[in-house]
Amino acid sequence: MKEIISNKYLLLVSRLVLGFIFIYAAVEKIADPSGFADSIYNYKILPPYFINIIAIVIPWIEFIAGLFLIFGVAIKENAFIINTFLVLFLFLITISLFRGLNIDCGCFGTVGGESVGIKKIIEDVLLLLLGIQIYYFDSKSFSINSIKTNGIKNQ
Amino acid sequence: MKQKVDFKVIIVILFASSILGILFNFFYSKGISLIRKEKVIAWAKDSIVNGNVESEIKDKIISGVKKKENIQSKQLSDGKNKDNQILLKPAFIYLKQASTLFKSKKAIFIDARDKWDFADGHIPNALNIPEYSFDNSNPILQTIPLDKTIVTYCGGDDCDISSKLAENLFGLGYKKVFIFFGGWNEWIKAGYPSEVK
Repeated sequence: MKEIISNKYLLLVSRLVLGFIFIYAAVEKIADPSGFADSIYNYKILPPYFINIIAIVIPWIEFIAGLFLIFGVAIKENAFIINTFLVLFLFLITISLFRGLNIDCGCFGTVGGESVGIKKIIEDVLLLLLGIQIYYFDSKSFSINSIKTNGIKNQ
Repeated sequence: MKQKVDFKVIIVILFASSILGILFNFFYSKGISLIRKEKVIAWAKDSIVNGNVESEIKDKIISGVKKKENIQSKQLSDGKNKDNQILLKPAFIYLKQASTLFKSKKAIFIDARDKWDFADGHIPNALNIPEYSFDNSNPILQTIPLDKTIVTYCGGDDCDISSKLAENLFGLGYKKVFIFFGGWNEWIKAGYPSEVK
């Protein structure tokens, strides 16, 4: 089992999937910062003063972390960042559900948004599983670092 | 070979991304201010809801929102005819005002929630246009004349899809669009009639 999970091709696929999803989510939010700020506001959990700066910064961290994950730059560190985000989102969506908030998730920006719900939690958990796999079995294969040190042929 | 996470790298990534984000936001045409400005909620006065000449709209504080008075509507030339007054943007209404409009049957209520919430219960005769899938060519919209009074609502006072829907409708040319702030929760709490479909 461990061998399958730590298979370098599977890890590459996980990295690509997670990376692209994060980039996609980030681009939607970067394109519409005020929409994302409103989404954060609707969660009613942060003081209004911090909302905009968070709406400006978070999507870029997601974007860079996703990009680095795809190209294999500092994989473990970026997996750590992404996992932290996923745990945070999971927490936020869950408590919003318990608080009975009928709000737009803001997960992928507000375009074609979906409301917070069980479906979002399941999506989040699946992504988190990918993130944990990448974090624990961080393979240097198909990464910028490995190309630099070994050359493409030796992979 | 197991490696430990290098927190220095994480801090560098977070810091660099943040700077990038702030710089981008600075030059981006849709950029927002770093500190969120207080949101002003425009409340419609009874007179405008009922279609009288008076045209002022009051603003009120909601969760840290500043109190401010705004003139939200203007009167055309003579100001005598009640049809001459127009809203400059959708205005919020209270439960009482919503109920008045409901009873008078002057307004069309539009539920902005998804079809499942709508099916569980809604204001009688309300139409359902989920905000998530709002489309200008929605067949329901073809049946509503532009001069009709519209009231949008969603789950309660903590959802914003009713105001988003109201803005969309306003953009389409509907000129009398109100947002029932308390929404479905307040409606049902007050014991007003509901309909399940």
